Amino acid sequence: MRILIAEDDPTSQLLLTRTLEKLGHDVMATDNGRTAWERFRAEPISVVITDWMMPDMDGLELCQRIRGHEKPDYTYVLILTSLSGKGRYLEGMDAGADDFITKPFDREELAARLRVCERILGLKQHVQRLEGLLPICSYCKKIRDDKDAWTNVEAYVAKRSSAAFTHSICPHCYETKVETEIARLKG
Amino acid sequence: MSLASESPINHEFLARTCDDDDAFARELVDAFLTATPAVLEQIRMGVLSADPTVVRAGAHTLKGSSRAIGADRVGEVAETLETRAREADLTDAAELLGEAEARFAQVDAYARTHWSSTP
Repeated sequence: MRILIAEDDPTSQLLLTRTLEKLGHDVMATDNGRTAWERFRAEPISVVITDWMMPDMDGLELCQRIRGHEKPDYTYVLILTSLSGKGRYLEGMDAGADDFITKPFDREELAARLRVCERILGLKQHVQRLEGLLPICSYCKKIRDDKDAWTNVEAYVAKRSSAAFTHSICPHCYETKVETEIARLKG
Repeated sequence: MSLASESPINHEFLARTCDDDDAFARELVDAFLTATPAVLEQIRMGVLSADPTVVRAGAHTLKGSSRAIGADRVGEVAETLETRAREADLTDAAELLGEAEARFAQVDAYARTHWSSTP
């Protein structure tokens, strides 16, 4: 997975980066929440692992910003901090985190949690694909939209994208429709 | 007393953390030794200016980094300093900082000896 780290302490950042790389992940490390936020907006990221206490922007604010930002794919956020206790855990989860681990982390536990994360992201993608299925009429090829109205493909696409249509005739239709019509007109 | 029992670094923890990769353990400890003087300086500035926010931030970083390499005795004093600073109590902060510096010096000296004698 492509993992973005936000960690200001160089020792902890090195440990986390190397551990994740050994687990086979593609890692990008940043040393504060603001830089992480910029990288998050600029690149596709599957997972963000963030410290809580950092200069400039803390992990909680980073988490809240990520949840308020629309991206096509879901990003899994894991808070990794030496702050502990039920209050901190609840605060982190309420800010939009998916998981919470206290430092110092156990590498096998981190690996297991990332396997869970991978399963959840896989399920999310599966749901997105199912939601993306369009009901289409087998005969006239009209599409049913989210308001239960049937509309032709051209109107449906034009309403939802910046695509523009140019009209032409495919060889099959030319043969079966146009030539037939020309022959009929010639009598 | 064996060298292992005198060690200010918990080698068992460090080896597990680094997946028994001694070169990586050495690199991690080096990173800690390089970064920590600036963190101790940050705490010192906070103590001198009687600013618990600065002391707390520095102590928090020191707690995390020292525990990451298994320097538990540094971690203990950093945690005490962080807890007191969170309560805005800097009464014995200078003393605790001195203790943290002394324990860090032990880690530094030990690491230089230990890894220079390791092939």
